[in-house]
Amino acid sequence: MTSLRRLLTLTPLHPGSDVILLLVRLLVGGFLLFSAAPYGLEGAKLAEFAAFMGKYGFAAPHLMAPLSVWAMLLASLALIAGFGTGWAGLVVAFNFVVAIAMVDRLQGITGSFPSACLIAMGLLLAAVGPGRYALDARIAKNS
Amino acid sequence: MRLVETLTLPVLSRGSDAAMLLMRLVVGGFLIFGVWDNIASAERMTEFEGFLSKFGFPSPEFMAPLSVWAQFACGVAFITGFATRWAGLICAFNFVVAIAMVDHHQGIRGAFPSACLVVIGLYLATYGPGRLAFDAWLARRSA
Repeated sequence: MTSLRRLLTLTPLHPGSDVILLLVRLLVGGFLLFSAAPYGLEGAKLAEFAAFMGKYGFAAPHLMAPLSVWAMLLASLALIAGFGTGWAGLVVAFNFVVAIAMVDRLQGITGSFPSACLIAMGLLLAAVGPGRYALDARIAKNS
Repeated sequence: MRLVETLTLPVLSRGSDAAMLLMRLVVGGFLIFGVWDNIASAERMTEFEGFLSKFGFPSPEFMAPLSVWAQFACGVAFITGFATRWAGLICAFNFVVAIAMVDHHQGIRGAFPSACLVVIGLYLATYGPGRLAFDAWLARRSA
């Protein structure tokens, strides 16, 4: 009975969860860095993004555009390093809740799915934490 | 000590089961939504066979229903939290194949949703579905 339960629930895979958490952080952090870096580095791209936000009815787009871009850049670095992961996960989740509410919902379920994944993974990292292979884990251990 | 807790937000770990449930519902719901038209309409299944054939899959008439029903079963398993780890492995395998055969042609942005499904599948396979799941209920009953 116990071996049947182990076969169904595959509990022996559990030790791999820290490696997969690292993979989740690298995927989310890497993707956000890839997406936000051009807007953070080029003034023309940032102005383009502000115009995009203005078109979708965001308040004060010239303030919101750099705020969103720099929040994503900082969150991406935090997730990759596993430093302040809980805060970074919350920031990512909040940013993409706003993205769905203001923009992605107009593209239907398929168009909103990447943002929905970023919300779910941001909240997961905020709640479960970054795993063993992270600066947060090292800091917690040393304290 | 307080500074470390402010940085790492351990208080959020109380929400980890709710975050796992949310992630399972988002991914499971999307998987079912993504294949439902292929299940409901023979015409759409034939269309999907043609799509697989175009991208060089062997035996598309066999692979199309296999992939569609595997995704549907994964969606149901994620939502209910039953045999979640097996479903996570199948989901991850399915979308590794999707990236290797199709999505890599669309670049990083195009491959991101499938990459999310790979890492979320692997995370559910290793960590399990959390407490708010049928697997956890079965484990408690047989403990």
